Amino acid sequence: MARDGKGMLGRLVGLGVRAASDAAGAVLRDPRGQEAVARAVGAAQRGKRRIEEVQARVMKAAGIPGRQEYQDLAKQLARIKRKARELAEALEGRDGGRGGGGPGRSGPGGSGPGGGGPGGGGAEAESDEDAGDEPSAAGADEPSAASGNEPSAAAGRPRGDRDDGSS
Amino acid sequence: MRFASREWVAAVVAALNGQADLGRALDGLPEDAAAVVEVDRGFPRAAAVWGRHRGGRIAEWRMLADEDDVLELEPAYVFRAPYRVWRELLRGANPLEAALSGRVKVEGDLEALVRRTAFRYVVDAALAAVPTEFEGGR
Repeated sequence: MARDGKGMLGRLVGLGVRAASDAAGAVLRDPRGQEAVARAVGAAQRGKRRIEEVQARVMKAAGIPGRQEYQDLAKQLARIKRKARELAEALEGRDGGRGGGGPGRSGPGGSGPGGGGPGGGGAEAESDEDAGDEPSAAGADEPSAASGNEPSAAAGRPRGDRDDGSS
Repeated sequence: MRFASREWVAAVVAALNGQADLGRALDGLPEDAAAVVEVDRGFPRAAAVWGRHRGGRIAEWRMLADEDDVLELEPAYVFRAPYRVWRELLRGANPLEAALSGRVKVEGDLEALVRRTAFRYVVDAALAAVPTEFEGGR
């Protein structure tokens, strides 16, 4: 009985979601509808951000780590994880070299597009632009070491990996 | 080409860069984005790709060894969804509906994307030009 009730509720929810989705689809096909949805989505995102800011302030005042602290920590953990991976692959590459040649991977000190990462993915190019325009200080730790006008994918950030590619 | 493989991503990027209206579609959007294909049945290892546009085309991209690398890169947009949702999208499901319903998790300015819904044909045409195989042929 309970299972039937749950099933019916589930079906009703499913129908509701489908109806809402159909309505959204119809609205989105109309340019004015698109604009309205865009504005609504923007307002919702801004509202959510404000709530998060207030929440963060309250949590900070209470001495409880907030979302930002969690994100910072997650970022640091990701960095440590990447560095461990790079070290492991560098060691693997060295061992492979002793054993008569590895898979052609470059170590963390490699340079050029795609060459500085964990193995460099075979050091394939990852950009279709001049290498001089690309982040080149691979192996450095700080994102601020980015060169020229390349604000992201800075040195020390995750490089290529299992694969890099170019367009 | 196998979905989310390096060859597949390279082909999709090339196809996108071949679209005449890509520049207009990208105009005004933040410069970088990442997509994560989350572990799912039939897809045991997550895949992540990061890319950056410049001059109206995708100028740079790379596969990431670990989906957590996205946390460090902090791209302006992150799109996350389980493998089966990406498969649905590639088979024609509406990406905006997927984003609004939360099946695709979008981090970043969703409003700017909604305003570009009219350019969906650019992505559709690029994807249609790339033969895509899914795990297990499904």
